[in-house]
Amino acid sequence: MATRAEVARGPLTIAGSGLRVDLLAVAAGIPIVLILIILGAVAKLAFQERVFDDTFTVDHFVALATDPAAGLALRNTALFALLTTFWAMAFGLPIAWLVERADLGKKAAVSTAMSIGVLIPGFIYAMGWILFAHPRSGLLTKLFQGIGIETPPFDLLTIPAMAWVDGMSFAPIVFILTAASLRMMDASLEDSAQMCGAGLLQRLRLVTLPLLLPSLAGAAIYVFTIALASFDVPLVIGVSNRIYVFSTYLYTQVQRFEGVPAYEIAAAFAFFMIAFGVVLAWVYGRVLARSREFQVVTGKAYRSRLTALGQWRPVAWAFLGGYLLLSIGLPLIVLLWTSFLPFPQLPSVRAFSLLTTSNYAELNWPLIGRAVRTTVLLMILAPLVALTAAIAVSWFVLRTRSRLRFAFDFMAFLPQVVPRIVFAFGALMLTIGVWVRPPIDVYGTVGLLVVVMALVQLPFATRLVNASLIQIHNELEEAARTAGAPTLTVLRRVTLPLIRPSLVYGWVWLSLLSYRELTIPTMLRAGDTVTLSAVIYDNYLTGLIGPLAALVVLMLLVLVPLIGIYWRVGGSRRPTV
Amino acid sequence: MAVGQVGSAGDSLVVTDLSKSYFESQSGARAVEKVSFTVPEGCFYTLLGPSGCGKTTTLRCVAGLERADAGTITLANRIFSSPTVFVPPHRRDIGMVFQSYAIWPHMTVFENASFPLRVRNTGLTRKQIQERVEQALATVQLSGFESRNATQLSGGQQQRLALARALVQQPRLLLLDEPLSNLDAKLRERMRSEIRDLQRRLHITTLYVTHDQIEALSMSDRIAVMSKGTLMQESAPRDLYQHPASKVVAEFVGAGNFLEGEVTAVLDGNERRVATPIGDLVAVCPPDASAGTRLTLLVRPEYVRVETSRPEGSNVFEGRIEEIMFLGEFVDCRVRVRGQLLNTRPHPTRPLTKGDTVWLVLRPDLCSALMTP
Repeated sequence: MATRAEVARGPLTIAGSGLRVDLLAVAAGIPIVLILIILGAVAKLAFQERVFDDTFTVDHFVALATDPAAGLALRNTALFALLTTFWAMAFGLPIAWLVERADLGKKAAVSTAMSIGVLIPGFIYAMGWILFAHPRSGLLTKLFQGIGIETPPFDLLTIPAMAWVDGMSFAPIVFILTAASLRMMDASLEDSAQMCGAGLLQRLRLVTLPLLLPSLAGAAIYVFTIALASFDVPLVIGVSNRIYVFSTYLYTQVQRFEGVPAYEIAAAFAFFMIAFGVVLAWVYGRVLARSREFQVVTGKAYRSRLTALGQWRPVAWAFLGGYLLLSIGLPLIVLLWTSFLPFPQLPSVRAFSLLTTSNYAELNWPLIGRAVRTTVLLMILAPLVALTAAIAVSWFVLRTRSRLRFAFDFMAFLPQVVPRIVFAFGALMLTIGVWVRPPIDVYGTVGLLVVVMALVQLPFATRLVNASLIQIHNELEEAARTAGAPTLTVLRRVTLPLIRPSLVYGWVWLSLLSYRELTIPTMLRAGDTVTLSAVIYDNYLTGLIGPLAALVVLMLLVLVPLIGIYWRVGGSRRPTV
Repeated sequence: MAVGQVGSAGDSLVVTDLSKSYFESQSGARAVEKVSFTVPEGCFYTLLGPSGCGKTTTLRCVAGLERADAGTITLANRIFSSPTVFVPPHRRDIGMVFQSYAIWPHMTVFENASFPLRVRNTGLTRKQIQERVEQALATVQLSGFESRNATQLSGGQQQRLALARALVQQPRLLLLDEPLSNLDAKLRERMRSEIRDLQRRLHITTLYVTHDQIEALSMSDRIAVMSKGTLMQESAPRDLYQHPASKVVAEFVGAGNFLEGEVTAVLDGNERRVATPIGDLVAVCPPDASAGTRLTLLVRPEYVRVETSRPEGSNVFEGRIEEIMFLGEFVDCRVRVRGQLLNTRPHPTRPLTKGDTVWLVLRPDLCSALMTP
């Protein structure tokens, strides 16, 4: 029987059982178990007759394989994810190289512009492009028609065009991922090749590229996982034209406007994506291990010499400027322009005389007020829950010798490789009682939204906390322990204060990502728990372009002070993704 | 001998008035200021100095990895760098070993070592390359490791591989940038003599950079001490240790007692009587030192004889042991002589204790005079 003193001092002992329960291990176990239950609910549903009929069947997989619509969605998903990854790499990698390894100049300004690119919601990119290049009503189309070309050479309502839009919105992520490895590459590896007589092209081909290959492959796989899960652009551009990828297919199966929701086939499709995600996670782990192997011990680090651009400098700036204009500038300018007009039209004398602020006045302000409340709650609570869970998981993974730690590490990464809409779907299935009838009705509560968002943010949060925990030498904690502090006190008094800058930074960054999130709020929306992003999507569905553009402009305006806070907190830190 | 003599007559490196500054440096001070030296063919030449003294910058200018602001660099009468000429590093025919070894982790041992032969138009056949690489690997005792992954090598093995890679192309000049600083103490000691032997066998002109005086003294034919971007002194190791030209050099190489003094009388030959804080003593001084010349005498601790009874002869000083510390190979014994503290290193078996009265004997030829700057 444990005495009170023993309980107070260390791991709890369950009376008589001899089983030691570590509070931190329990805390680490909660998010992991939640992830498993949610994915388990999806898997269970995929193999049973109907939602409330758990007779085993593989019929849904047969249906998935034979259903032309599902088959098309699967092919679309693959093509879309591949092309999106391609465009993201094609823009992000050269810019990272220009900033880190060439004498482009204005390094800080370019890095800032690129990280702002990560924060602009994907649906805003998509809406901007719809207004700009829609084949019937877009400004670009009107411009072509004005000079006598009826069908513009560029059709936005196709998978390659959607991939182009989404790829540009993901390029900043590639930039952030590859800039670090370009920056940290040991310059003496290239110098020594030159001393061996290798010229510039030989060095690039034989040394630089092969050395960077694992981290480039890592970045590509990472962006590929995001592209597989991409929801905003396929929803805004694709769904109205009946072009579906996995996430929008799942969404339309669940949120049916007519007929009965086809949960079971959706679950079968989701199960396939989970299995594929597990494979991706394994491949990603292998690639990362390989790139770590390449990080050889270096002595004094020489600042790598910058490649002189010389006469290519204007070309480099044109590339960078062209990218920023197409990706951020154009959609935002079009939205801003449209928000002040009664209906979309090209700039002209007449258009300028029509400029009005009525779009802003006509907005449904009470609804927006409620949406702001939900959004703020989500921005504060989801990162808090995610980081708390991440501290427990990271501590368990890095500071214990438990055999479960590798499994925990892998599981905490699953929300990165399994499309987030699957988690929203699984959570939805749990709340309607696919497993057991939930004791309290959580459907449509902010709490549900917060928990699912936090789980989806867990991979980012654990990697952030992992990285900062690794920096804290074990001996700092051991010294506290020998000074008589129990585990939780060590955590509270030594570890957490030491990693606090990272935690604050992580909170702000995740909070910004919560602000731009559309997938989970639209999937789990009900009644009053509507976020700003979901309100914008509703406005988009009504087809009233003016108020929609006005709302988007307002949402972006709010982003400005938020990014200001991020800059104050982040300081010289570079964003991580 | 495996690789064969690679150096040939006339492979001497001449550096004249080399200057280099970095734009990034905030003080605007030059990293290297008008440095000139000549490394004769087959010579093991060391640049010795504390970090930031400009030795690595000098080496990187010779390699061509940095471009000098002024001055010329020639090897075997071929100009590498001058105000009008700049030969890029890959056309200089130099082998270089980096501090981090810079072994490419994505290649095998063989691929690493054969790289210089593969990227140059050497005209060698596959078989010849294979033979040359095997020879080079044998020279550094890495035979049989050819197909090993570079990441599987230990620190010492990576070091040897870096050396093999630098030598395989039979360069005219070998550059070594603090190659031993990443090794543990035991291995460092062994590699010191290995590199030294290899250099002697191959008779290759070598420029070596280090901050470790033991490495410099034990391996080099000539040592140049650098400080704050300038070359302070160039000498053979023994001369450098026994007759440093300035206090800066004397303090950086070895330990020393410095006695400020003034010549009071000219004796036979180069011997002078010098008045110092511990009393008058006889020391060998430069020929131009005459009565009234102020100078600093350097007395190395290990050159001081410590006696427990007053010995006969001159240059004997009475003192009291103020501090004594047993260090294994010797005893670090500090003796107070007329207010001045002198470091001595008596044999560890001597029964000396704190507070003992002792007599110190200084040999006139082992008190070297530094002209007071």
